[in-house]
Amino acid sequence: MDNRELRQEVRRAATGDEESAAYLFDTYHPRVYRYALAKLGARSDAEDVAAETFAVVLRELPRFRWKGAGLEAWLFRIAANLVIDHVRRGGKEWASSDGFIGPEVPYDRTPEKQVLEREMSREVVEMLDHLTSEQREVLLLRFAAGLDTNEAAAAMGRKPNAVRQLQFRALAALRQHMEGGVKA
Amino acid sequence: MRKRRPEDVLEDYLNERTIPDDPELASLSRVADRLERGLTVDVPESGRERALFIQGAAARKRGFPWGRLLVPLTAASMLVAVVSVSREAGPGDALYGVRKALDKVGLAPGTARDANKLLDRAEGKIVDGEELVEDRRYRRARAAATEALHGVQEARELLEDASGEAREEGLDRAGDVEQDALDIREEIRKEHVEQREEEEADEAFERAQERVEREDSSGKGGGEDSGGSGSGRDSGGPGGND
Repeated sequence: MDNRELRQEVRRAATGDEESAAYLFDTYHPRVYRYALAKLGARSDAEDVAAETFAVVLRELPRFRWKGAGLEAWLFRIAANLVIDHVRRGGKEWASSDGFIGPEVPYDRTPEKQVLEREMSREVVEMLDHLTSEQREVLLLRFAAGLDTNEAAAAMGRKPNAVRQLQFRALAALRQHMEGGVKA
Repeated sequence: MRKRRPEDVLEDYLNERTIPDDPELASLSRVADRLERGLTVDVPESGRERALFIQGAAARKRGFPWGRLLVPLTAASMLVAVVSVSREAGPGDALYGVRKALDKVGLAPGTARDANKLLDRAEGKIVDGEELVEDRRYRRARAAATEALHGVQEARELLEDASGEAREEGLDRAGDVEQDALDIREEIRKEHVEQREEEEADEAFERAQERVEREDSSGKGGGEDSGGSGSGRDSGGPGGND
């Protein structure tokens, strides 16, 4: 779906079109959940943040005006703020590898695959432990939320160039860590 | 041509999901791929939240009162053949009176529907206008907003002849589209004010620069006229400024 079609979907959802609302939920709910899970580390917290994000989206959508990076930046700013609120209410923002509970793995997977998937996510969390909070935020917005760097920049209130540089340095730091190098 | 920065080149490869030839960038691209696979976890069932979201969005659109309109609709259905022909009737046609009569009671299917078609087109113009504002093509953006406003006006005229919930919904929607068009105009106005202020600042700077240059040259001229000491004053001037 191109940008113009997405704008039309947003407009229709804001004026009560059920199909468009379903489209927005199905497209963005998984991405918000993955972002929140990577930030908070616990399934229940991630589910709460995703549900709260869509409650805000529902309330604010008629007032939403498409500017710059558009819907994704707006939506993930909401999600990021809700993560912060969640932390203020007693949670923990960054799920370091010590506190990581991990994603829900469906029961229809083989035990080997379940272990592999859990380990893969744990490994990722361990990798991200070695980054600064800004580097981590860029990577989570890029690879958990699926934003491009322009959208991630708008969500973070940074310039796209700065975000691309953060991304580059973060990936270089992860590579160094994976190769057994010094901590970034 | 300026060499592109490695972070920009890497971004292109990540967006295209291809592996760069450069070994340095290729290894970073592999790290990104590994990270993305690790973060793409299964999402638990969220049917309840989904239903609430969709119902909440749909609640904004008020339902059409089919129950209340059952009797007139039944009557109207008997006239459906006449209606379908009369929809295209213009002034002077035999069925124009039928169309006007149906318009008045809000049963002419064309009235609200035609208004909605106009509003669909006007919304398309709003989207065009917003994109043009982003591209800083203000003249075309203003034209798009104006077209949207014309569409809204025509839709409102049609809706005046409609009645009931369809009329209310149409007028609400017309109000939203109108507001969007006015927002675009306001944004263009602000941009123009900023642009004018920048231009005025530039002009003021140029005028100041010219004045300083004039003063410098008249100062120099005076020095030369007074004879002999020009070079001394020239060398002394910048030193004084320092």
